[in-house]
Amino acid sequence: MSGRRVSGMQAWALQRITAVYLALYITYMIGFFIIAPPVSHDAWQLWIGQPHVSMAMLLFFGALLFHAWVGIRNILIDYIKPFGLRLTLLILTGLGLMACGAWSLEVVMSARIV
Amino acid sequence: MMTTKQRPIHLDLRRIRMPINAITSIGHRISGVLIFLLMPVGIFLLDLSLMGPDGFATVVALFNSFLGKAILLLLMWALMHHLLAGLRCISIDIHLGVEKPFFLKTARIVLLVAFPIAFLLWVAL
Repeated sequence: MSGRRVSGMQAWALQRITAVYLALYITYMIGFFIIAPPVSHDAWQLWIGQPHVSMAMLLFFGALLFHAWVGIRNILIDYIKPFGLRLTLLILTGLGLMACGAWSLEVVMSARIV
Repeated sequence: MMTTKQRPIHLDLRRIRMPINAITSIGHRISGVLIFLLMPVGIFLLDLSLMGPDGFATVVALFNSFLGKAILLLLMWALMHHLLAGLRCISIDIHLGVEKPFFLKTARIVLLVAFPIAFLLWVAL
């Protein structure tokens, strides 16, 4: 029982910590695209290829995946009652998010190896 | 004798009464699911834009197409609603804005303000 409570508390904290980073990053990126949108492929790749930009972007994807996991998990647990269907959707969500994580890692790192 | 009122325990969205804060809250969930579903599309476009000048041009063309602009507007609403509703959630966590009139007022503000902000950003992008 206490284990479950701690787990819920961790999810709650994780959701808020990632939310703060996501809010700051997305605000910055919207501003970036409004003020100085990339003009060419070369400029875009050079920008992302900078260590601090790619690290911030990888951190963004990491935060997004954990944030999405907690959120979608809560929604599935609230609305999907049949256990088998709920478990299937939870597993598919988890696998999908992990695939997105691996894919985003590959894409961001590819911009650095030029 | 006092009888305990039978309270229904369910999350049937068609039977639940929806005050303004509930609409803001369900909007928080809907916008979250929308962003979740668009995530692979975003990674795909990022991948394509980094593949080379042709890929970059394709992504620019997609963003300038009617469908691209429509989806971007939807995404901007989802992002702004989710962001504002999330900030409201965190402020309530630290006991700011829990009192009833203010609680409902911030729910209304989040619900209504997300649209014009999203639209303005979409026009600026």
